[in-house]
Amino acid sequence: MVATEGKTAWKLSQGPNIAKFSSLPKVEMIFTGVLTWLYTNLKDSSEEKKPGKETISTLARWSRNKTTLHGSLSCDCDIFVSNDKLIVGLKMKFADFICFKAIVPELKARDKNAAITELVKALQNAGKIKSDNVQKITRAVIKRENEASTGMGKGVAVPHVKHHTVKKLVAALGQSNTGIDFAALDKKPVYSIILLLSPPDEPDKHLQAMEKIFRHLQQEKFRKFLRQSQLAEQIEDLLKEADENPSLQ
Amino acid sequence: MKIRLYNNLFLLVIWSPILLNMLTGDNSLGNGLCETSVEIKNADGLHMRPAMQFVDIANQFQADISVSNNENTVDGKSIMQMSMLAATCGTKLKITAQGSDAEQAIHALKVLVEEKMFDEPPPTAKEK
Repeated sequence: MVATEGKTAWKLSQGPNIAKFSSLPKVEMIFTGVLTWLYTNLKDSSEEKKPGKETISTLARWSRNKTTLHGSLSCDCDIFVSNDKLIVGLKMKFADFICFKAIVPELKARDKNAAITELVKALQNAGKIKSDNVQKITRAVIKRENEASTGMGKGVAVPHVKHHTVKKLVAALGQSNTGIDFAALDKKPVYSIILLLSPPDEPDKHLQAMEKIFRHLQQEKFRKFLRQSQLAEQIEDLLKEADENPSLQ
Repeated sequence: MKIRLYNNLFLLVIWSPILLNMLTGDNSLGNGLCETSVEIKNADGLHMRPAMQFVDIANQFQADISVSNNENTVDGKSIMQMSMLAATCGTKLKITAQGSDAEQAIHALKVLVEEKMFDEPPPTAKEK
């Protein structure tokens, strides 16, 4: 029930056990506060089973304000109501899955397969994957890539694979100044590549990481900043800034 | 008597598309606006491959298609935006289409998500 990552849902009809929440570290006050607020405001609104959009946005605003007040919760926290469930979710951050030691500011590779190999190697050098598994993983990513390109257009590619040797979601980031042909959807060269490896039994985390990646990479400003970064440290700073300040999208 | 019969027939003609929609679960709102809610049923959720299938089908229609979860409403024809839904297994999404072929689009997308389940397996009993 501890909502540290991902989404946790409570059935409103069951009533949240506030005593239980008080045993949570740090974030307890926020959750208890939101639940109390929710209860006093929604309990008697039986004529309308589903809380309206306004309620949800009020709740979201409320939780956001609380979030900024609370230093320990600087990430953006989602609290929303879906049918009869209250969903509390802490959004995944770049820092949760991107291995900063595996940032390659200038890829040597000139083609798709070489770029994937280089990024898998970067993860190996960072100690995230064992050398025995490097070849297996590289082959699996290339195989997946050949099934359907992950070049999503706008100079971005997200090669990924779910592999049984991967125990924890991890990603490497590579930049290419010359551009790499990734057989992208818009047929244009790719400049930013995020290689995402996930364990097969955590499909939800994989989706949340993808959401985080595209939420930012969709924004022209973010893509521009990323392409202007020449050093791994600059990229790391940019990613951290995106984590701290969700408005920089 | 005759007039009454015609009247009833007339009413039936007017109401039949609405009744039909009620039966199929789709919700036509007039003006080529149509919406439905679907639940993601495959274990891995709406990851890239299913999202691409969705976008491919959406792009076969002229109607504007938007998809929303509780937080975001995104363009159903953009793969990047669809990836932002992070729709896990069990997530309910609202699909809205507007345009001359809105109804067909909604039907095709509902079949893809709920019946074909993107040609992927549902969660096994253990995972549930």
